[in-house]
Amino acid sequence: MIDDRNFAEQTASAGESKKKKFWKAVGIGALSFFLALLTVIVINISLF
Amino acid sequence: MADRIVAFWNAFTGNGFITAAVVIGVLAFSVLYFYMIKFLLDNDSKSIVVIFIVSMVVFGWLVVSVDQMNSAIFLLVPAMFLVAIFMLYPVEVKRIIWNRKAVKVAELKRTNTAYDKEKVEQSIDEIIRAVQNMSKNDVGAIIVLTASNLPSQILDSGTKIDSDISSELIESIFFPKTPLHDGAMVISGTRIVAAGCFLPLSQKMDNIPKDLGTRHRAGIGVTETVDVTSIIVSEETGIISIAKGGKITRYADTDALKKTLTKYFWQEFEEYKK
Repeated sequence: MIDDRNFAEQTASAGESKKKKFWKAVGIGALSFFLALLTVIVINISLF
Repeated sequence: MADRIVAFWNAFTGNGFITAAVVIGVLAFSVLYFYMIKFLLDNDSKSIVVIFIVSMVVFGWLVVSVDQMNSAIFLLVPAMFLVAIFMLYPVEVKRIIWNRKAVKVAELKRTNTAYDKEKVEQSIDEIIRAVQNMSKNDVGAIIVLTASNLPSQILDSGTKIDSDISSELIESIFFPKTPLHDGAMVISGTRIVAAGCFLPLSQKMDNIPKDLGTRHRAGIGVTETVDVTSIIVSEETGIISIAKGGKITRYADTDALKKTLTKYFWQEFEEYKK
């Protein structure tokens, strides 16, 4: 919560996290797709 | 169960309507789960994500295995987690609902204020001068830099001003014992919009040191729920702090102030040009 670092340091570190954010989004997307597939399959299989 | 899987697959590949419905369903649930999981991970709740995934898999297996079970029951799992998110994270949900990044160009035009470079530079200088003078004299202050996205109840709690930014006005407002000194000043673009406004206090009590008082908690608190920046001057020590996104950086010097204000105004300027 409390961050006494110099603002320049904070600004410099912002660029490095973009790559991490991208892969995090990809991971969440894949997980979401898997769960969505599971949901749809479970709902539909139960109808047969 | 194998028979049911085969029957489902035949229906999926043989019937265009079912194929379309399944694809749309997968896309819709993907979007919902994406934002749910992203929200939980952004708020340090990995354990809830794990419980969610395990619940979905286990419950899904149960629904498929038990004959004549209504498949709609399976939707209770994501529904329950969605309700849990609203109940466990009201501040964060409020932040998403209140956070509007678009600048209200109509407001800027109505005040007949040209959003030009000279005015922006002048505003930055005036704010920095005021903050430094108040810091030197141990005058407590909170200035909230907003993109016209502050909830109306916060603005209504104070006194509307609608004035150009000047260091003399800022210092006068925060001068001790004046009627508007005990509250936050709200700046939108190159205008002082209001003063004496009451802000929501920070909900994360355990992470704030005890030497930071209510003024700092209010400056941090508003940034937890709305995408704004707060500049706080301590009445006890004169230390200048900058809060954004629920985090506070203390001992901000002139360079830090200039960077923060430049980033704020040029973000606003770029939105205005659009």
